[in-house]
Amino acid sequence: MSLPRPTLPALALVVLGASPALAAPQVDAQTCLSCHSVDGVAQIDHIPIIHGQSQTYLRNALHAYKSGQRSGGTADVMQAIAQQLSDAEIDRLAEFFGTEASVVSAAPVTHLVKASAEGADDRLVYLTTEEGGARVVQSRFNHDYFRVAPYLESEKFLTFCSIASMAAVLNSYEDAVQRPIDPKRYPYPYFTQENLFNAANQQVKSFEGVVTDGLTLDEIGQYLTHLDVQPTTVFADENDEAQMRSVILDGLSDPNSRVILNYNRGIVGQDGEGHVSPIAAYHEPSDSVLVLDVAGYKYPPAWIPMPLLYKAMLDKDSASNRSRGLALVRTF
Amino acid sequence: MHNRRQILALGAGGAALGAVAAVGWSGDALAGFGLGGPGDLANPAEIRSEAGVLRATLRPTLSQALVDDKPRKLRRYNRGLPGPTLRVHPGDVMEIRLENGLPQNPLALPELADSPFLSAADLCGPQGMGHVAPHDLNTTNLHFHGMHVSPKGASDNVFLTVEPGGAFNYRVQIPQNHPVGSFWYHPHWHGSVAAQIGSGMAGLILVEPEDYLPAGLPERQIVIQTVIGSDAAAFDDPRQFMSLGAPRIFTLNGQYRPTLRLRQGERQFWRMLLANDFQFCPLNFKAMGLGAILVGRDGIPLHEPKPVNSLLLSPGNRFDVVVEGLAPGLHDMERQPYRHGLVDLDARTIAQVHVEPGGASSGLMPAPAATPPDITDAEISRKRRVVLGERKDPRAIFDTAFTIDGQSYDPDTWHLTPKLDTAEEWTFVNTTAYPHPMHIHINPFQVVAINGKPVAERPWHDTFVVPAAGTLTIRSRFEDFDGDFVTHCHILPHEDAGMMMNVRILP
Ligand SMILES: [Cu+2]
Repeated sequence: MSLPRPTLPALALVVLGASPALAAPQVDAQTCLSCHSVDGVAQIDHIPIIHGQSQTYLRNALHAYKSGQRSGGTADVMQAIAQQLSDAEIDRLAEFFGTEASVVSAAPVTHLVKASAEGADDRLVYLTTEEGGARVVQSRFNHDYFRVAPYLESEKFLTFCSIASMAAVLNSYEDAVQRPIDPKRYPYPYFTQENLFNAANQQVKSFEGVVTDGLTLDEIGQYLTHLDVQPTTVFADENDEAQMRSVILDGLSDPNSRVILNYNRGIVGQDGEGHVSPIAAYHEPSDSVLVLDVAGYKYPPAWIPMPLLYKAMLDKDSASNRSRGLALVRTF
Repeated sequence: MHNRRQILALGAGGAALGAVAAVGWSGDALAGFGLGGPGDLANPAEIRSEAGVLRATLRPTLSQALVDDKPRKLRRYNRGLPGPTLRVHPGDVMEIRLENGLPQNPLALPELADSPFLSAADLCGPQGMGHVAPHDLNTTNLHFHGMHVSPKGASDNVFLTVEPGGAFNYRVQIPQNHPVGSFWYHPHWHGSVAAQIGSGMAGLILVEPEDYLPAGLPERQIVIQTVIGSDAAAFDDPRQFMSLGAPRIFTLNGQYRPTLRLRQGERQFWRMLLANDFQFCPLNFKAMGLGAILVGRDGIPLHEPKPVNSLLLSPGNRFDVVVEGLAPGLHDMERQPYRHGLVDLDARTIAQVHVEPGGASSGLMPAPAATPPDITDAEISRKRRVVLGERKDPRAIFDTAFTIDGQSYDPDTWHLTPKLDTAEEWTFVNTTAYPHPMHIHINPFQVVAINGKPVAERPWHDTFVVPAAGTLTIRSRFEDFDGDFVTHCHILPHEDAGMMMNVRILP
């Protein structure tokens, strides 16, 4: 029988105030969003929605919490958080959530969706039409549709198309890639639009950075290298239309490959600009590509003619000053 | 009967029901009322003090038990689920031998063994993994939850360590003025608390004078536990028990969905304990066909017994309630829906209450007992703010460590250092999106405000929830005992992940 062994506290002398160096404050937009919600809808009864408030109001409120001018009751919670913020960080957060740079200002797109989905733009064929569905059945390159479509979730922010695309594509590999376990979904491994932001990816671009600016094709490639798969980025300005088509076909033919598309959706006649979504199928008779749109609240998946899609990939991404293109994903 | 699934303890044990003869107490066992037999929930085994001394041996082992018809490998005291109830008088001494019969700790938990983030400085146990993750799941000790006793030496000293194969003789002197009510014992070795309580190590302690229970009032002990229902291998995976979503099985006195009987009009004295690690358990008495009169909270008697419709049991809470059968019939006892921060937990039937016709009200109540005087404004010598938070830490399970005042548990740090014989007001400020039921050892506290709104009744507790992104203001009087103890979240995975802080009462 061993004697009980006192642990440190029983032996320690009084060491008042000798706390070890505290970790650097970790208040970022994700911290705010854990209570203030991701989509502008309040999650906890007494927590206000901060998206889309005026920047000036948010900045003043944070300063009032920090100085203790606003305190008592639940204001103590914000006071404890604001005290960790520098003035510059307050500016940054106010800008981030405030109206002038709001990431959630919802464009009135309903009428655009309708017009387009009903075939006002006859160059695109939507999956929800009879012709769209028939093409999937006719296609000899449709396997990725059945692999990826079940995992498609809409982007959480207007700028999260690349994140939502990667999550769907990575989940489509199921147990062939190592997927993280989200505590809320334990014990089931699953990629979410949050847990893609592992430490290595946050180094490439932070969560806030992606909420503000999205990812360039090159950054998508870097993200993927940190997610247990092997990416190849193919830029449209370095390849002609035939070469891009053959990259797509290679990807769709190989069960271990997936194709993520980066294009300018304005060029194909849809509302919007730079966008990212997985490619799910190729239809030879019409020479068109099925794009699984991760902005499902805007448009259903669309068959886009290859020549038009090539033009949309040639568009220069102002963030990278390069053309757009494809990210070909392979498992190891 | 389908609702009488017994825990099948394999092998002999000290938890056989009714093994201990009643000595000195006037209260009758449930059997005296035709209760606790087949078709009715039995009380746990009981050990009582004799001539001022309670002698007991608590021996935790890891062994199989049948819960909801499936074999589960559980850590349990004396092979019981829960451990035996200890019944003592104010002024008694508890002499409890803790014999650690758990297996040796594996060298390291497999998931953590290869972590590149650990250095020697992170170790806090023999094969420890820092203060932000579970480790050494078979190392143990004892805590006397809610009791107002010395935190030093062989008393309620949670800094003691009893390794597998080791033993320790606890000696806990209960003061003469100790509150009359329900308390409990459980392990409290930082790193193994969630795993051990989460798999069943807990038991009631009832502190009361001889004449507390009137003859004719059946006393029903209800120990609610939420053991994790998975195979044995998965249970020692911290990711399993660190998750709110883990498949926890609610049991009452070790029984899965038992039936509790009483007659219409009949009164029973329910001593309820939520002896678990994670899930809250709101209960609605009206929906069970019962009237309810609350007598005590967390072992502290109310000034006046008070009718209640519902109670929120946070992990660690006790409620002493006189219930009366109102509506005849078979009613579900449901854990009511609960919004756990951002997660909605559904209602869950945990037992059935059978109110049978043909009874009569006894009108009986337990004897009145003293409530501590309210802590007045004038008594407050200091106000403190205690900030609860979380942060990313690669050493922690799911990379989430919990903090108090910006740091995860540090055995060498002393921020909270009140003086003996003073009273203080503390506001817990919760900067996370989850509720945290905060527990303070040794001295009970009065809840004075929630989210800044005053609570008129100022109820006494030793564990009370700090709302998600909200605040809880309490007052506590530090009496009789100087020394070191802790305050922590009683969601024990949070505690093992760092949400604990030392308290030192200066003489
Ligand atoms: Cu907690």
